[in-house]
Amino acid sequence: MNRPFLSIAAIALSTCLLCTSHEAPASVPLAPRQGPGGKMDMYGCMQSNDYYVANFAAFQMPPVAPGEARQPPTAQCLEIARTGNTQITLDLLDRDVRNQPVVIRVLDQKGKVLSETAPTVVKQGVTGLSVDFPTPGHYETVLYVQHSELNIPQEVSALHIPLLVATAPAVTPVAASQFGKFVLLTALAVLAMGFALPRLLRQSHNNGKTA
Amino acid sequence: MKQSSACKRLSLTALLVLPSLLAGNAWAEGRLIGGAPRDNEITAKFDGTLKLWFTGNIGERSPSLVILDKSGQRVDRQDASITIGERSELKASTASPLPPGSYVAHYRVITEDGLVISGIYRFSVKVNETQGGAP
Repeated sequence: MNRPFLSIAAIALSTCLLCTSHEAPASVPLAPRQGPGGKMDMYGCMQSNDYYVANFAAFQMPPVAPGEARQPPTAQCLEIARTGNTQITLDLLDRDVRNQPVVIRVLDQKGKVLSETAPTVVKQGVTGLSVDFPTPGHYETVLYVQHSELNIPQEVSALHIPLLVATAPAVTPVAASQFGKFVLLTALAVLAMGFALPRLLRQSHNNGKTA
Repeated sequence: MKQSSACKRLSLTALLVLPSLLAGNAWAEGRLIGGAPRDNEITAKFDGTLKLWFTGNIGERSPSLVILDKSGQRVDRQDASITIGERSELKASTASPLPPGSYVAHYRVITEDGLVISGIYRFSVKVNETQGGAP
């Protein structure tokens, strides 16, 4: 058999294996998100109840100081930094939910609807909406699924995601204490180096003289 | 010379096949392999507990198993639990012996690396004729 044919066959076989093996019956988690207290969560911002699980993200354009380049927005979890225009996305991690119509609503503390999507089947799994948070405080994102197979009222199975807008402290005590530890350890390391280095250099100099 | 060529060919094959094999581990990261009762089974001997078994690196985070009757009423005790092992077991029990009818369960487990394995599972309970005939 000729060599080019074998090579092409090997590449084709490898590509096929690669493609089929990626059809795992599960959703792929999104990149880590900033969770409560500014901590990163390896699961993203996974929210669940007994029926559904979704990865939540909120995006806001960061403020730009004069002369600075605009930074891309970072995904935030349940503590949203600022009021104002916010893009909310939900990654529907249940495969069966991707074949059912879903509705997302954002409500304020009094239950007033701030933003809502029309019932939509989200084949790709990622859906979202834009909302304008007028004041700091508590809000809620709710995912309703009109699940034909479960035959359950959508209010019963709805996934409620509580949000805290513009009220989270900028630096948590944990982060501050960790920074303090870092400064202390660095200072100790510098002192140790300052003490040991001249002695080591002197010793090597003396060794050189005797040799 | 011949040996070197064979070695090259072997390396090339390994280079091509290895990523496929590594990617194949995606399957090993967790999937439903069975349950009791079996999916779509019509049983007369339901013992009041639905058990589902999974392979892979299943974690303890957010397991869920909800059992609903035909009208969408929840019939489980809300006591879903997972036992991690080579064959991890997700189970939930029903509040009372289930009357004959069809039932649907919604299951979910999450692997250690955050992959969600969830879906719908069905079974039906029929009248136990041997018990039905007893005095």
